[in-house]
Amino acid sequence: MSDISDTIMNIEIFAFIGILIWLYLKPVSIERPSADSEKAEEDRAESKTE
Amino acid sequence: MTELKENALLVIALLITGGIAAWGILDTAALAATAASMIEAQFASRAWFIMLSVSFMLVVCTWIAFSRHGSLVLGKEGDKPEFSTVSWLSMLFAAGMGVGLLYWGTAEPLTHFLAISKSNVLDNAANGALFLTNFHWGLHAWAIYALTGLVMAYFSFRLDCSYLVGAPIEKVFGHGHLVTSIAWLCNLLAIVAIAIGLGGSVAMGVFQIKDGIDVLFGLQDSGAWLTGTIFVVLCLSFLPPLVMDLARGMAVLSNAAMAIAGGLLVFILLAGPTHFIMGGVVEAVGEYVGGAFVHGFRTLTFMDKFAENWFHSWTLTYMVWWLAWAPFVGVFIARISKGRTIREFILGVVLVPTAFSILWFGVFGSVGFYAALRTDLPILQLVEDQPSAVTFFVLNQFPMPSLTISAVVAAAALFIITSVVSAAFVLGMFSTGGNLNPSSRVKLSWGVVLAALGLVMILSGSIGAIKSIIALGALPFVFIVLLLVVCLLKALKAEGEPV
Repeated sequence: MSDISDTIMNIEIFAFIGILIWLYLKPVSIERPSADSEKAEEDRAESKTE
Repeated sequence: MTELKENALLVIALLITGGIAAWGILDTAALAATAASMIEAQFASRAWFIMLSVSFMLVVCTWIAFSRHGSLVLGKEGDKPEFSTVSWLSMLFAAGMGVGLLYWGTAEPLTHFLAISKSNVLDNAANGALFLTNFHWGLHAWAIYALTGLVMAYFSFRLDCSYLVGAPIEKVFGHGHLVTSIAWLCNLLAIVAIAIGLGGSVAMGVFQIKDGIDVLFGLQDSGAWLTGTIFVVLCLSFLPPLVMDLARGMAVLSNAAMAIAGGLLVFILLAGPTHFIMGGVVEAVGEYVGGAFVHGFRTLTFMDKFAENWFHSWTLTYMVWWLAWAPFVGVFIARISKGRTIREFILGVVLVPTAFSILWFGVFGSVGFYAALRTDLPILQLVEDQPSAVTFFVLNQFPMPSLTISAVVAAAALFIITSVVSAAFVLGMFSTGGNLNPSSRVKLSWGVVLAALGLVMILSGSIGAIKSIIALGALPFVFIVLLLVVCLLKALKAEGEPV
């Protein structure tokens, strides 16, 4: 009726789902490219085409 | 330190994939048996999780497309799409399905037809068989590609990340030791999954080209020499594009393969029993629209061993197969989608190819059902004995068989060449830390590994063994794609929040 390897493999899945939920709820700060760096990148691209 | 890590990734990835190839060449049976038993254990315990994951991906895709995030542009403000919509759709479809369509067009619906007929599960086996085929190639498959591609496109075009699978993880969760190691591992697993998946595709293409040439020249038993010759010729054709920059040429070849496939579809529709085929297509649309979402949650848990084995070797294998291709196709789709909105991206990637797949299998499947139900042709026997020859058998019943069979052989060769060259590029990029111009030596190394893996799959001789090996290589990607989805959802949530 029960199979230890099956139980372990599924516990791993439950743990993984738990980690995903925890990661989703965990507050993080994502660094976004600033407008200045975008402008600089555009200028670089323009000077390349010239 | 970074350089050492990047080189380590290249070396370890080459060692792992090269090792699998060497093992397979030395003892093909042992590799196939090991892969089959390992994948069986995984499928037996985790089928529910795989089905839940792919259905979850479809739900997430739908939600993102119709949420406020749908109007975000994949790029900077003012970026416009680089390709016309038709060209964009054609390229992404060719990258995502390619040679599989030619191989399975008639063979897959008929295989399910046989299975359903044997188990007496449904009254109408042909309808059920078409539904299952469309389920395997439809919304769920493309949702996997769309989400992976969206993660790549969003993080590279909006957040300036590299095109690496691990890059979004580092961007969202920082550059701590643990996070960097997980990201590195994800890059490695993506490389292994792509290489093994492509190896399988090479083998399938070689089998199909061989069967086409057999039919074309009336060869009864060409045996291993023809398979070997085709393999060598294909490998030699990879070389020039790998050492030269032929990106534009590759796009042309890929579009040519799609044009041949499209022409074939129209030819079969018009030259075949059109009313029967159109009836089949309409049935297929109705069945699919009515049942696809619910079917995504089916695990066949309460059915007998026959149904369980079928479910493992078809539905689950397909789902992990798409996952194996996801990093490769995802990067490709991302690269051609700059300037499109998220909504346009998701609807284009998920809906249009699904509609084309339903049409494709509706046409090719219905022709097969016509042959099986309305004629005495031995097509069902052929499906059991030699699925790779079914497409050619069907074409042989139509006018101008030499022309159409040559076209399929050419399209299969084009699909394989373009896939291997693109995959060698993506593998080169992944294994050198996101370098958009990997050296010819790196691309050539990957070309050799892909060819060796293709040889292993050919030596294994059975499509079942090929499926097990691919599924095993791809399985870790279920976890990686879900992790990437969390990264995307967090980044989208942060859009518009004050910095």
